[in-house]
Amino acid sequence: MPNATKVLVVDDSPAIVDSIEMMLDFEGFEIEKFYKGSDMLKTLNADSKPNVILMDMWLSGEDGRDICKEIKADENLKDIPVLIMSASRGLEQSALEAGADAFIAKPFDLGEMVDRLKTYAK
Amino acid sequence: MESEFDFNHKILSFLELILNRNYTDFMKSFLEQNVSQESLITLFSQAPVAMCLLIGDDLIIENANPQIIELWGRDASVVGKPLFEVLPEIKSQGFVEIFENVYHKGEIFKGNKLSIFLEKFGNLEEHFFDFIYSPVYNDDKKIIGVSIVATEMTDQVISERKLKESEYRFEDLIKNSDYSTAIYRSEDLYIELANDLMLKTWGKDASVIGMKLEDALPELEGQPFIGILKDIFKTGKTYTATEDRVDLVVEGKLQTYYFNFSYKPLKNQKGEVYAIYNVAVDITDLVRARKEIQEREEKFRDLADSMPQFVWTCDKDGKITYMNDNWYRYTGFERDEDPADGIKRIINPEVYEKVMVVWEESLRTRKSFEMEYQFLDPDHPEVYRWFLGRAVPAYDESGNIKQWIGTFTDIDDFKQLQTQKDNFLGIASHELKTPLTSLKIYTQFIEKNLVRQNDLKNAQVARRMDDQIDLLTNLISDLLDVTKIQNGKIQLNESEFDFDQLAEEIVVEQQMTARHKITFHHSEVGNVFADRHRISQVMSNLISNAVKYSPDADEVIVSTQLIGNNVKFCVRDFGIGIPEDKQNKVFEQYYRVSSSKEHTISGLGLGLYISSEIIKRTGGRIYVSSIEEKGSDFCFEISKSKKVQQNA
Repeated sequence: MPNATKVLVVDDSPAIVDSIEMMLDFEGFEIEKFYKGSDMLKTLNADSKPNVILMDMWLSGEDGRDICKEIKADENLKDIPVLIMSASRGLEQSALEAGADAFIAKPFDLGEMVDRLKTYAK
Repeated sequence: MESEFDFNHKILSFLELILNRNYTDFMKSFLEQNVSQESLITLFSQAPVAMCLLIGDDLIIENANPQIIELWGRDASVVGKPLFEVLPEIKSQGFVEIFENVYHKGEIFKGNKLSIFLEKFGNLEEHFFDFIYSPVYNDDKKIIGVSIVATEMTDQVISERKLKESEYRFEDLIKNSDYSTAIYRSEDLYIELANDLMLKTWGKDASVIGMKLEDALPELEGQPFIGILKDIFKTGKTYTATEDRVDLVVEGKLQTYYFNFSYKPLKNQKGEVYAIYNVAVDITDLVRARKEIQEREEKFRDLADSMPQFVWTCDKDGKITYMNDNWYRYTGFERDEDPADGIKRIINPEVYEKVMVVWEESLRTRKSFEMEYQFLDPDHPEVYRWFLGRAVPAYDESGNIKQWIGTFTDIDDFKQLQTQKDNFLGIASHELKTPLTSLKIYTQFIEKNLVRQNDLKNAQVARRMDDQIDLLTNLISDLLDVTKIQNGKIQLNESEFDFDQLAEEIVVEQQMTARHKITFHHSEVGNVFADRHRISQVMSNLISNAVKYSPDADEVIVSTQLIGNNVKFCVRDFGIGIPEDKQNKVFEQYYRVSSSKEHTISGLGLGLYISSEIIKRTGGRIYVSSIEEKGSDFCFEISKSKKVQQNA
């Protein structure tokens, strides 16, 4: 759908990525999924920006906070909302300090997540 | 007229008598040779003996030879005068009586080194004489006078006295010497003298004086000293020894002593050794103390060398004085190289400056030094290993620092383990919650779909599944927290936040799943500086406990309060309560309140333990007051913190 909210989902766990994809797809979002942050960064460009990036903090050797900092440091990309997820609630502060627009603790409520993502609609 | 022979015989007999010597052979040869009277008179007058003849009651000096005139300190004019007129000074010295005895009673008077004061050259001087006063008989055997024969002994006596004096002085010197002193006479080494100090040194009393050294100190057998002493009699050379060991029997036991001593030969005028002068200083205590220190140092070195750590010492200015074997084995450095240079070579250059600054600070403030830094791994080029460097000062009796003692301990393995633990906890959290995350998503997804399909019964089942997932998530979170606490891995991420606002948030959140009515009384306590997430965890724990442990009640009351610089958070429930003897145990790790309804109360019982640890780490306190069957009041207090006060 051309007006669907585009969400980039990044998580090194296929189970999580696939379940989120299935759920968001059902809810009418446009999904692009990645298992590595660096892969996601490669495709990211000013011309086809997503509405929101949903990214895990631990990405098998990569730190989601560093990726977030990179995005926020880029003039063309810094307006993209970045949501960082983590199983460790105590890391909320450092996620926000890295420039994340929100911190989401795992496991999360499906309904809450959908509502939140809808706020980033075009 | 007497014959010449008889005359000579008389003279010789006279000489024999007064000189108290046997001139029989002498006389014989004179008489046989028929020596002339004149020769005899020459002999008589040349004899080195002072002689004179006193005649009559007034003891007129009939004849006096030059020697006696000189002895008296007079001149030839004395001839013909009475003795006491010539020598008036002797009248008061008892000589009147003496001459009386000789002249009237015929007693011979002999004086041996007798002291007589004679007036010579205007002064009364003391002189010493050997002399004989003899009665002189005429042919009728009647005493007609007194003969005097004398030899001046003054020089001899004075010499003897001087010698005696100097001997006394010498003895005195020896007796009062601060050193043990003794004199051994002749090659047999008779102990002629030994002062008290020496006697004490030997452990003997004065009875050994006069004994041979080898008899007085039989324990010297087998030791070289007697031999050395006897040798000196031959060589005449002084022998000195420093720190020589001597074994002596003192108080019945053979003990070891150390001395600095000398044997000096005493020589007579001919240059022959007649005695040996021995001076000794007991330095046993010094030597023992030094040996003790050496032993202790060796023990220290042995200990230091056996330790797996690197041990070092440096002086008060920071110059390294010792490094143990292990250091040299690890680094492969040469021992003659300055260790400080070695350290600079193998330390991680990024931290070298910082380490020096901290070390200088320690030296200056005299406080213990502790710092972690990296040294190059000798087995792996360009790889560093972590070491913990520590140093403490060592003081002398005056309280000044005399040296620093330090260690480097390899903590690389430990640090790796810490990193592994950190990693593990992070991984555990991640790995456990990952399947839960997708599980929850799928479950909620199913629930939504079932609701849409109007299959409410199955939707409810899905709902319950979701609840169980939440429960499981909480249990796992608690377990992870406890693991962190036990490994000291709880880290507080502190920030400033509104305390009431957080409390309100948690109340709202808890209210969503609580059957009870949760009432919140807040009182605008303001901001605190603490770990927001962890404090929220405690708040949630207390409220959910209140709900859990009051299944028959309807209400839970939450309140905040400002007490001085502290904020207080309380949760009151009206449930089963806690027995008084258990109230201080509730915060322990495995404690769970037992009740008839226990089987319906779920959870691992770790919540209060975790909350208690969090509050402790925050520097606050958590406590409970409770009455069984009535309810409980759980509270915690934390300080608002100075930082907040500064901002406010």
